[in-house]
Amino acid sequence: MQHPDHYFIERRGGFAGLKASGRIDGDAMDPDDRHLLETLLDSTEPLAADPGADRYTYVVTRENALGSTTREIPESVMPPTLASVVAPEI
Amino acid sequence: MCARDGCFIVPPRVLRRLAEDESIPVETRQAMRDCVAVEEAWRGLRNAQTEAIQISLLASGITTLQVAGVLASVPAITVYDCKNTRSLPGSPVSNPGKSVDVTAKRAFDTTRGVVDFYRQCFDRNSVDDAGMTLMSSIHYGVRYDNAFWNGAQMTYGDGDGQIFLDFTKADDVIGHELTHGVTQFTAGLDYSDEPGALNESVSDVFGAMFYQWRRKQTVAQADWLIGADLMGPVAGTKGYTCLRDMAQPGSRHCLSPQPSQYRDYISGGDPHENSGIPNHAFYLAAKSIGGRSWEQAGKVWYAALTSPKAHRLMTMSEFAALTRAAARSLFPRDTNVYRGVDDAWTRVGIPSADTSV
Repeated sequence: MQHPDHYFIERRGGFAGLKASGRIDGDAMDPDDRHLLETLLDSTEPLAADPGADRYTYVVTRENALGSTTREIPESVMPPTLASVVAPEI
Repeated sequence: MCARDGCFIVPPRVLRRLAEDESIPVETRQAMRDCVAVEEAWRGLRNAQTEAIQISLLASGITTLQVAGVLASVPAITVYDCKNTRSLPGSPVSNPGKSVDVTAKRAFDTTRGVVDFYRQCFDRNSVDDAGMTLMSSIHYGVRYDNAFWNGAQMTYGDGDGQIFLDFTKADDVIGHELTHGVTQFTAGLDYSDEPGALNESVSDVFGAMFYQWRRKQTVAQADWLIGADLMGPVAGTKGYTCLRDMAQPGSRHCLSPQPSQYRDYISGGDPHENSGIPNHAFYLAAKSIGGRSWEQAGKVWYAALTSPKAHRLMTMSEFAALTRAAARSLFPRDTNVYRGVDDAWTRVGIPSADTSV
């Protein structure tokens, strides 16, 4: 059974160092992307940063009736459709 | 100088496991398999680079790199077109220096300019000082608002056209990204906390110097802005003229304002935030010394970055000490240089620990 999950996504880093953020409800996600994101959020494996410099990092927080889970996800494994949820804060 | 890499990657075993998950779309799983393959290829490339650098060390101890006969005396420059995908490196662009794609030609020409800049000003042969081929990928992603160095190559997005323009349009961006390569092969600075801020600052400093060198500007003529040529119409409408300003890091015309004083250091902050402190120190030093930034202040910063005492966890205070020492040793008769460097760090809140001066 699916919980009514809400996801807050913040993008950090990049050459500009300009933060961007957005929010999406679990029901609005592509089911495959949602499954991938859940796998990343619930993984106990370390998700270390992409190599190099000026890469984006996504800080994803899942909130539902069970509580809140936050994880930093490197851009190389972030589903592009979810990465596009964020808008720069200017 | 050996390659010192403080960077990490997503564990291949995680990607492999996800790639076997049949509930994930076929294309995504293939992308993950590709990532694993690229990671292995990348590791091989890095090993080859390390061997080349070790050869250069050996050669420089015995004779010259040219006599060693195994290293490129001038780096090759290649450009690849991602065609708005996120697949690196993309398709090779043949003869990019004469390409009808202005982005490809610009990436090629400006990269060649950075090669000349490092050779002429710092006697450095490519980012690894061993003639490493410089690879750039353009048209990365769709309206991608970024440029990055991935440990082996540069990658440039087209920008969204509103806030950011094509990232190859800015000389300082290309100088910045290539300098990440130089840092990787020299001090090997980490990418968090104070070393991360220094890593970013060094890229801004040499990116700004490259911009000034191309235009033959004195420190008084330079605008000291980073990313001014990237600003799109929406950013301009809102009053933003640059990403960062080394002269006034906290100014409102900066899309990404920064602290300029060590007392305002943001604990746990992004490297692009805290880089404002050493950025401002370089600006103050260069302005105090006068002339052209790459002739004295730049040589001092380069000597610190490439010093055998530089290390991946270096603090701002340690880096400042290396610049103070370099100012003395490189310009022993021109005390104006040491005074300028010392005063610059003091003014951003990092005074000398040496009480004898």
